[in-house]
Amino acid sequence: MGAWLRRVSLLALAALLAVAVMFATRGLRSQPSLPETALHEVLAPLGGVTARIVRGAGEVAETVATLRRLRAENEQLRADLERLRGVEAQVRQLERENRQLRELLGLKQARPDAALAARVIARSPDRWFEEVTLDQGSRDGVQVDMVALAPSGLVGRVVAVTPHSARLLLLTDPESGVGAVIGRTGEAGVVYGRGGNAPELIMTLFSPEADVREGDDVVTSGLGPVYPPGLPIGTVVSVRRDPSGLGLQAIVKPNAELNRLTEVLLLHRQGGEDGQ
Amino acid sequence: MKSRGAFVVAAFAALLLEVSFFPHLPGAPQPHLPLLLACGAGLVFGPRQGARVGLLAGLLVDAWIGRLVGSAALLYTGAGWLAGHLGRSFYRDVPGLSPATGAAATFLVETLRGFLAGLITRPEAGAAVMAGWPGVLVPDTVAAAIMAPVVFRLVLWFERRERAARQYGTGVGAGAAGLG
Repeated sequence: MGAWLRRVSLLALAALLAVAVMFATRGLRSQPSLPETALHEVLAPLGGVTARIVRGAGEVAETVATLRRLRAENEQLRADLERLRGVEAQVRQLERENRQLRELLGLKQARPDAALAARVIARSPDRWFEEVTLDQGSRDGVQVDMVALAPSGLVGRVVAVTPHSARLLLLTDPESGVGAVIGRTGEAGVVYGRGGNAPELIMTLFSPEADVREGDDVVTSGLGPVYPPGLPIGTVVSVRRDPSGLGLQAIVKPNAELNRLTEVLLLHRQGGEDGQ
Repeated sequence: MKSRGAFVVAAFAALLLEVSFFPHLPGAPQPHLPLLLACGAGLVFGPRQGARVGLLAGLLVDAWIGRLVGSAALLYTGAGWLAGHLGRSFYRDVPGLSPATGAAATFLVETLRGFLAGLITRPEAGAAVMAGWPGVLVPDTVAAAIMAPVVFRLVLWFERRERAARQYGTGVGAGAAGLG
């Protein structure tokens, strides 16, 4: 009982003391007590450091958020750029096709033996045989041995026809032989391809002493049964002796861009039943 | 009592965070960490230790605020003591006791503190102040409920350290009597 009374008395005294201190400190004081001053002196600098850390962390978080937003924007812009590049490529493709069609139209109007225009729809996957497939066939009037022209020059001849497509043998195919002459001197020979995706043609000249120079134009001679005379084939880029050392060979660069064909003009067959 | 020094450091740290960390978080309420520390000490170590830590934390808060000195000490002491009795009864068995204790202690202590402040400093405005007080305290109460488990784990860590020290006979087990 005595211990309990003593405890209650102590608690009451403590509460009374606390209330008294509360009353004593209920208003603003210009001069804080020593413990208060000491606590502020210790905690204030630490508080400044903590506040700086918090503010720094906030700035870092804001920077990270900004970086994320910028990254998202960057990705979006990259995607837009890629899309626009695709559109630009399509526009260029259309422009090129448009130009080629205009040139082809001009060529068709210029040539009385022009039969029809055809679009290249496929290319031989083989490295050694240079063929393309056209979107016009026998139902459209395409026949074997029709000659194909691009606006810049000779392309090749039709070697097979189905009702709705035709196979065109390019000049660069090893099987393709074209009777040709040097435009400047009239020296005759045969032009054939090398295959293997090689872009050049080889012209074997009939005369071992032929007058051929770099830069000479090569055109069809019209001596064979397929090609009419005067069609531009290409330009001589070099002249050399053939492997036997007896004949003369000229390396000819085709005028037509055979690797980038999109449309060709087919000519009526030489002396055919549907010829001119 | 090995944890005595740890509690002093924790009380200073709690006050430091309370006055310089949370106020700088935009829109963050005050979780009243010193009070939560007192409650945690009471829950884990018992009423006497809870009251001691409450007294220390309350005195630090009073010294920092400099007005109505003793009110925080008195109320935090009482809160720590009550939390100690609560912990003795069922803190190991009741899930969510620490957030509930922290939230309840924050609401009650701060309400009483507001009441005391109104009563002592502005008796004429006390009723008006008290009418709006609960609404003001709701964010702080939620913050206390969120932070209480963190503080509770810290106090549990103190206890584990102390128990390990006693177990390995490092000569610091004398504080066992202080656990209440």
